[in-house]
Amino acid sequence: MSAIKRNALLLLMLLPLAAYFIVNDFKIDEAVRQFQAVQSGEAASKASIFIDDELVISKRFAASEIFDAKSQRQVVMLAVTAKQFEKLSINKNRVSVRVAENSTSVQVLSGGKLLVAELPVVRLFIVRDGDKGTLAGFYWQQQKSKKNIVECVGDKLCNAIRISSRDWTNVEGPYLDTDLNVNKSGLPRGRWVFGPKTVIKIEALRAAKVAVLVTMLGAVADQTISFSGAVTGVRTSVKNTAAVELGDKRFYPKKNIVELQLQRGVNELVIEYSTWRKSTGNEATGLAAFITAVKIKEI
Amino acid sequence: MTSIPNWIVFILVNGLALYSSSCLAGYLLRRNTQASLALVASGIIYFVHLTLVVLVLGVIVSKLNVVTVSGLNVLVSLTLINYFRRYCQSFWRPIKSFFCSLIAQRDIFTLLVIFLFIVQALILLLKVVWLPPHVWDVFNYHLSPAVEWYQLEKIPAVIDSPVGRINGATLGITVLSYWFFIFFRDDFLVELPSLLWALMLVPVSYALLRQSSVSQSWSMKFAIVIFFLPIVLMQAVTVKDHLGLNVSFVAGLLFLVAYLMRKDRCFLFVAAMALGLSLGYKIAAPIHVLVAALMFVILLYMQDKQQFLDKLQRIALVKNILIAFVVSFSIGGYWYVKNLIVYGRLHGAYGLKEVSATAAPLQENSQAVGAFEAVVSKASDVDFFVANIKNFLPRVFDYQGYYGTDLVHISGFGPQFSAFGLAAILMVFAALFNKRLRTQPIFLLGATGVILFTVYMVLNFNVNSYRILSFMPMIMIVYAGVMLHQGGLLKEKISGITINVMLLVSIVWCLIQIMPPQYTNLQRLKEFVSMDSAYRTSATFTKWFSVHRPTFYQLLHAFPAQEPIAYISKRGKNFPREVMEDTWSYPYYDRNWRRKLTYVRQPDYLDCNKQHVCTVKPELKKLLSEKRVALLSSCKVNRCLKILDSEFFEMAPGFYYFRAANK
Repeated sequence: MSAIKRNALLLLMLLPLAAYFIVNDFKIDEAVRQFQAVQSGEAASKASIFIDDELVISKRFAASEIFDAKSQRQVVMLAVTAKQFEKLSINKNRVSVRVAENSTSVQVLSGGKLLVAELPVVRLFIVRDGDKGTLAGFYWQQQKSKKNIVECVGDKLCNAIRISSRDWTNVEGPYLDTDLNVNKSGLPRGRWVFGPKTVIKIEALRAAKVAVLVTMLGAVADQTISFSGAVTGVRTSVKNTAAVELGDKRFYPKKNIVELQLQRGVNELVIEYSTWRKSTGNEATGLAAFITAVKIKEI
Repeated sequence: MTSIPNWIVFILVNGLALYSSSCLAGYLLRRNTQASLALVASGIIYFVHLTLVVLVLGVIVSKLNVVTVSGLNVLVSLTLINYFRRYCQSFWRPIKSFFCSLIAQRDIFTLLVIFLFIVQALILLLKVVWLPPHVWDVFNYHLSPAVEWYQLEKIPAVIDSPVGRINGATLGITVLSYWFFIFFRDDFLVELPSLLWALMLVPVSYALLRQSSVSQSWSMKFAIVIFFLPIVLMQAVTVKDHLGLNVSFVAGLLFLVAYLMRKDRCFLFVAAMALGLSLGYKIAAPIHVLVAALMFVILLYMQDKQQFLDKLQRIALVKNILIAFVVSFSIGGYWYVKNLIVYGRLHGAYGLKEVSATAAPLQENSQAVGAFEAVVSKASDVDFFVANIKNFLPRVFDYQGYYGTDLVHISGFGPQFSAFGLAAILMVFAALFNKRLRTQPIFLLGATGVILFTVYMVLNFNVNSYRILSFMPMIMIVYAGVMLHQGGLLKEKISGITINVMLLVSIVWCLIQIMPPQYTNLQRLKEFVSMDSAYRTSATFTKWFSVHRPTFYQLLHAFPAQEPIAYISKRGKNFPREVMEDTWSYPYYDRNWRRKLTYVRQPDYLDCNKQHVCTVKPELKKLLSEKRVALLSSCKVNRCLKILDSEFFEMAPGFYYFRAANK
């Protein structure tokens, strides 16, 4: 092959190779992001179960996406052999559980079928391997007793009202900081609401004057909210308190106490937002805030 | 499960299989002196050996377990060793002399490339051992049959599953996954077959290049750059079948090329074994084999018309080809025969509306079209061809998406194909106008690659369609290497250095880009790899469904592995954007495959309204009580049905406890 042909062939190979790297340069950022993500992770937590000073069981477990009824602690279930469970049960007063630097004793639940250790981040349940009935009952109870964000104080009032809205999403969360969905990671339990407004309906069987505490995480900076409907006054309005980082998103906590004069029938509490998130990527359109609590009390 | 006795049995049984395979390979290639060919032949025979042992025990004897598998394997191995021991050859000596010559020549570049290859191979091995099986279709039809075979101790003709593909697919790779599970009863090695096929690619490509007298060091560098193809590295850590299909196919081509060069019929039989393996790996494999056979006969004719004209020579040739066909079909034909017997068509239950455990009602559904008719009816699809041509460059340049084993909108052919493969396609077309080039045995490679690729351009177009096309970069880069050698570019200093740099840059790019594991939450990777092994399952690893991920995957490991689960499934959609046919069964299993699944056909057992709230028919309670199944999942893939019944307790959305099951 002549030198010209050789050089032409080389060029024919070099140009597409260069083109490949040019059109794929965005993959370099992605690779860096992936390596950083791996680096930012932490090793699995280790649960060590002792009877006095004797190490009986040691397990490395994953962070749990299931939270307790108060949505405060992760629920971790450790199945141990029947022999181990019996040993722990017999010596329950001498058992201690250590996760990271925290150590605690165990309590007995479900007539001795569950041992529970309350630690700052996790509630660790120890169950006999194969005891599916106890497990099923436990998970069913967890599912049933999941906290709603709407809370009513006082039986007299609570029996007379019903709160609903078509403008908020289903209750969701809490989510781990490492949740894959960047729109949800780190969020507590709550409901998303969208701009420009949220109408909360309060059906009342009788007239009453109530105070409603609305706690939310504003989704955008410099957002102001206003209340209307059956409102007689806003007693406290905390606008744009210090921002908090949840997952990799910034939120702006707000707490407002709103006084309402409820009439018999349907009453409305309207929350209007000055601004909200614009739709980006696959994120739901117009997220304005994440409501974490609506507490109502007669005054 | 991964105890020392298990390791001893595993090493002993596989060592014997490998040794006996190399003896048989030595016998078949006794008139050949090239070590790389013998190495490839040994690998091919080893895979044939494992495949046939499992199939014979699972299908014919119906006694498939670690004892029978080990016993039969030892028996076959010892028999082969007894007959062919004197033909065994050592691979250590040629490898040692190859490295000695590299060191003597101070060929730093080749040594560096080999070092990167070893690093990459170790990374892949770590991924195989430490990370559980994943990827979408692995969860619904690649691996689930192996679990059923293990639990049933046989390979039934039909598996009771609503996934049609399970009962239509050729499951040769699943057979190998079973093999690498059974010695430990743990799924940590089930992806090893794909890695072994990826590693086989190196001697296969090397041998192909050496056939055309490319120097040892250049052959090694090109072979390693082919190993580094993103599509190869990604598929090497899965239990998908594409890699096995295409590497065995290219190995078949290697021995066809060897036959064209030396006319030794033993090469034909080894080629038949390799192509037989490929037949067993994918329902589309007959297309590969047909194209290769056609091109082989054409090239044979172009080389020597006389043997077609002379009656005696013609009879000998036809006889050899017929024997080769019988060898191929004996290795990979079981799945097609089974499909024909049970379903009356080659592609089995693919595309059927409902699949049942018994064959009788199925035949009512089956249409009278076979795979061949389906291919012919598709062959007129000009739209596919036009769409594929328009999409060719965007796909091969990989810029329409990130690297991922599902190859969504990309080819995974990597920078090396852009550099060498595209040029090689032009070289194939140029060779058509040059008699010397088009009658070279190696032209079989280029021509088969281009024609098979074109056939797929007509037959198939979807976002994932390049998954099956990995033969193209493998073949084309080899062809480019041979042509560059023949053009003198590898000997000339400047062009040699330039090509070396191109190879190295491509290798480093692929090494870095494909290193992070896929389909998982990388923020939790450290946590995952440091957890107790019992928790390291597909269910806890996978990151699919960041939006609608059922919580119950977190609960599975808390329940005993022996506790069966009933799994509601159907072939239609319950929710928008839900996949039609597929279901996700593998994540339900523990890593030791102890858990049993009962497939519950949704229409027969549930009445559901448009809000996806369902009431239970009495038949479901009866079924669960009879089978003593207390756990029920209503999540076909990732979206779950709501069940309203006082006897079913919801533990997590879509995950229920049926208390009456154990009464």
